[in-house]
Amino acid sequence: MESWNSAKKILGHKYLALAFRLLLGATFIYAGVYKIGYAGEFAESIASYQIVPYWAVNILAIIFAWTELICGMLLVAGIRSKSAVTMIGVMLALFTAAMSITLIRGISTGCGCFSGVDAPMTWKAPARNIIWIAMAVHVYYFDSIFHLERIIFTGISEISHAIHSHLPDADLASHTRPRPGQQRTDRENQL
Amino acid sequence: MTERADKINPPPRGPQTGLEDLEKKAFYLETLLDTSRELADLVQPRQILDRFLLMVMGALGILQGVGAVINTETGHGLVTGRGIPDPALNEISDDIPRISKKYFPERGTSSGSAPRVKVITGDAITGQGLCSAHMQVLILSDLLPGRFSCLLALGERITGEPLGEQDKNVLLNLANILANSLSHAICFMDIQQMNADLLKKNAELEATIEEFGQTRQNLERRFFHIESLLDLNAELRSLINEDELLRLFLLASMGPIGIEKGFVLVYDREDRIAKTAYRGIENGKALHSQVCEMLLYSAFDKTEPKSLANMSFGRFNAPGIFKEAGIDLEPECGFFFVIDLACMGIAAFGPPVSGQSLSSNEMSLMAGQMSGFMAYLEKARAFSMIKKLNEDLTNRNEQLTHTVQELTRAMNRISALEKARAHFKLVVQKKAERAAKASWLDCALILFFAAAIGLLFNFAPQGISIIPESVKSDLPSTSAAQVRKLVDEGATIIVDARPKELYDRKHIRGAINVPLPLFDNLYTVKLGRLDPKRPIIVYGRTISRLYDVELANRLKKHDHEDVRVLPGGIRAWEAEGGQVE
Repeated sequence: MESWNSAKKILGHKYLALAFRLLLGATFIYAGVYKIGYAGEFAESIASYQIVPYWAVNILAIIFAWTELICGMLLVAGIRSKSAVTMIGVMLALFTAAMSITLIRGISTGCGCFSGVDAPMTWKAPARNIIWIAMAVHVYYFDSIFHLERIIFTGISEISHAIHSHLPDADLASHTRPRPGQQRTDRENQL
Repeated sequence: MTERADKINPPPRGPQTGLEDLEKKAFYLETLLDTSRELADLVQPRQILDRFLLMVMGALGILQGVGAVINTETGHGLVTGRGIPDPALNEISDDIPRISKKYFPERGTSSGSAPRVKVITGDAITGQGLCSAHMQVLILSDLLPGRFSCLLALGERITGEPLGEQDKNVLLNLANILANSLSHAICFMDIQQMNADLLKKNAELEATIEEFGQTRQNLERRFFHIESLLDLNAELRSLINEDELLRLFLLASMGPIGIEKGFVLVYDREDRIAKTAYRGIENGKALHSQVCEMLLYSAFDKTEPKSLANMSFGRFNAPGIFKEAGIDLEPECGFFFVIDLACMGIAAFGPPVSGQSLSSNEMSLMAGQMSGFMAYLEKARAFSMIKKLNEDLTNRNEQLTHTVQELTRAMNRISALEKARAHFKLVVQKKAERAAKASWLDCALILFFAAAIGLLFNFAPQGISIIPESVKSDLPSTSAAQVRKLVDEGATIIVDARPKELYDRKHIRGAINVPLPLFDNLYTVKLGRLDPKRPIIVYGRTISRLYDVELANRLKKHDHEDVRVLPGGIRAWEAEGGQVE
């Protein structure tokens, strides 16, 4: 039981979540940058899956590449990290599903994950994606430190408190008193 | 007197008695007449008594006689006598009260009638105790009944004969004359006394009138002083300007008394402000605060009585202090006054123009004027203070209004800041809430920005076509039956445009594989020597790629005139019964 608690504690540790977050973010930045630079190859990779209609392949290649890059950057920076990691998870799920379908259909093609000259895709690729999805889930629930967005908000909150503390008490009392029925939320108190 | 002596001593009796009686009667009548004449001019009772004794004793030949006029009210009287030694007269004088009580016991019974005369002779007077036993006749008379009485006692005759009836009648008539004369004399004396009293009363009255005149003059002066005091009060009452108050005080206080020079100083010790007024003094100037304090100290030092109580003043006599201060004034009268501990002053006046010293009334007047002046000065100072307080209050009101406006502006600003802060906090809260969980909006925004940036970036030279060119192709397509017919005729070439792994898996028999990525290399080798007019059938497409269309377009670009596409691909070919490898 104690070992389980320790394991649970380690598994849910915030620094582990930070590591996962940075790993996922960096991976997606790398993948996105490459795909942006070689959009044609990426489009071919998408086409090789034979899932997307031909008229949507190119635009999908463009949007996917930039989405990966933006989500990776947001995740690393800790800005809208929940949304970013959610999108990364969704993309990974889509990729995993596409890979699985392609593998099941027996179509031999590269993964197209990082470059257009990958070796033929095997079941390792969707398995790897599943691991990443697990990482994304971990990040979603346990990531809580080194968020640039929170640091900025904390600074803003401090400025707000500074303004609040420099106002006269009498004026504050008349202006900051909660309206009847309006209670402060925990988030307000934290801010 | 010689003739009278002869009459008193008649010739001896003889035969001619009738003639003698007549002569005696004539003698007595003449005596009565002489006595009446003698006494008529006399007004002093003592003289009347003396003259009467002389006349009676001479006419009747009597050796001794004594007379007294007695005031029966007081018991005093005067006594005179003839033929009686002075000690005896003195005894009688001392015995007057007893005699009065004895012979005139009835007092205060005034009947207003003529004097009553009673003549007592012979044994009737024996034992009366008056003088000596030699007295033969006693005459009693109430001169003024209840007030004065007269008593006359006569001794024996020289001849030793007793008084006859005729003698007694004469004596009674003489006593009546005496009584009348004494009554007249007493009345005359009363009149004289009354006249003297009247004169004395007149003198007293004149003195009183003179005193009354003096008093009236004093009262008129007092009235004038009071009137001038009232005028001063009336003039000072409406004044609120201290300078004007000082000036009018000097004018109104010096005029009634006729003083030529005057000076008044009011010094505020807190603000060190001096107000002065001069009258009749040349080169009157404003005084420095040090000079004012020196004057005040010098004056207070000489003031009697010394008092620093509020609204008090005292008179001082300090000649020379004004000369030291450069003021041409030698004060005849000076006052040191205290309005309160913060405000003191002195008022000094020179001698009157008349050259006389100030009287006590004038000093009282000046003291009264000082009291009024101090009261109005206090009122003026109070008014000045109220005015100053009002001005201060007005200024403070303006400042307060300004402050209230500032506060209102500040409150508005604070309110705006609070609203902004609340709005800002709400935004931050929303942002924080959004950061705390995934949101569809964020995902949509990420996709939107990714698409926007990607499309913009795709304009770069290495960008790819967003819409595939194959979509816009107008290449002619053909059916599997026609293709089979052409293949059977041997007039066409079939090209498989798919990737090699798909080609290797299955393709139309005789088809040449030219994957698009290798087109440039394979075209020269496999299709470069073909007749441009020979029909070429291209097939091979997936859901994601129209390889056939793209390859056909390229062949078109290499001047192949008859390039056709088999849209159905291998599936249509096999359905038509074509062979595959």
